[in-house]
Amino acid sequence: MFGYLRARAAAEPEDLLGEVFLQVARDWRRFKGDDEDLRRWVFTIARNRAIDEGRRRQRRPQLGGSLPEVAAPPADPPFEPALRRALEELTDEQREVVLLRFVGDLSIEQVADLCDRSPGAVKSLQHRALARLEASVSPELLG
Amino acid sequence: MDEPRVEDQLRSAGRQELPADLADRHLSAISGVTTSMAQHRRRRTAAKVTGAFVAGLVLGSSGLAAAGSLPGPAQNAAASAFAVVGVEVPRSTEDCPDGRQYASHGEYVSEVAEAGGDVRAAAQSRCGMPVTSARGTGGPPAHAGAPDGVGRPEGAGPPDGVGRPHAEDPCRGRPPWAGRTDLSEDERAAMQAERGAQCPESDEPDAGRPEGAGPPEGQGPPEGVGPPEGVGPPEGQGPPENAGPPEDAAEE
Repeated sequence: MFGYLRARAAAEPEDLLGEVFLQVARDWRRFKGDDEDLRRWVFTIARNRAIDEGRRRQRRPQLGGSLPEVAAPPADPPFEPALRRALEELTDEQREVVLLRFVGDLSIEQVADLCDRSPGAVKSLQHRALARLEASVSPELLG
Repeated sequence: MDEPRVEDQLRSAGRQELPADLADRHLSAISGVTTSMAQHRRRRTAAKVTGAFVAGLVLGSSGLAAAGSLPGPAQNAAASAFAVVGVEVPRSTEDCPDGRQYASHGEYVSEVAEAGGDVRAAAQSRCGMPVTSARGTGGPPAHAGAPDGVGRPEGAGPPDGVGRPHAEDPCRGRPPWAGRTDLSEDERAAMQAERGAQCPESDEPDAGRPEGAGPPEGQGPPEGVGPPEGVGPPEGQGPPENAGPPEDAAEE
């Protein structure tokens, strides 16, 4: 979970994680399901929180270039620089899918539910994303 | 191929353990929230698993659960919940032979079956039990094992098991005794008590939804899993991510 939030380049992943903790504790009695459902539920909360945080960040007024940046910069994702750069080159959907699938360790079906897409669409996004990542990262590793 | 594949690198990032001090800090914060919730709702509930889980958070946070000292189902619930967020908690050993630890209830039952033991008794025990319904009475959740999304039209609402549509939630909408003139006072009181035990206070109807979320699409918000903020674009911004796929067209 923490890795996922960091991988999403959240500005304050620790705080976001705290929000997820709190929401899980608060809504726990409403939860109904098994382990897999729980995992999907918690990641859904985390994803929504991360989306909110990203929007808050975007909404903050942009100050002039000569002024110091007020908002906290995104935290460093937990990847090698080459992979980080390659991830940044993906589309938002591709990045979301690979982060949920591999960093979050969710199944295709869980990601599909979470992203409101069909499993086929998720597979397609994943396939293209991995292909692009491999293509971007491999030359750097070799070079 | 000696270099780790991209997938492996991504996976390893997701396996990072949550720093202990960070986990403790958050769990301490949770304890404040859950304490106030507990004071606010002095009611006995059938959701003992939930209550014990929250109590575990209140009383000793990770320490209590990590020590394996919560009641069996609560320990398993806590273990599962904490595992999702990256805190390792041992499984309960309640009802387990010799206090042994199992990764799951199924593992225990399988072991008993292989040994020719009393499978039925093992199945009814709590040993290694996975998370069950928060309002459960010991049986599996209604949708346990159901494949994801089966029977759901696209966009029809939350995924199975992640909250429930408003119409199916006994805690929302008209209470079952509403408008019924055939009920005696005792029957009505009993129904009210039952609902009270099942349903939390309605002080967080939108708890699962991010800030500013308006009414969700479809059948209503899943509990605890709402759309990201801005269903109904906030402050003139574009549509929310799940309100329509502006970027999908390029992708799919």
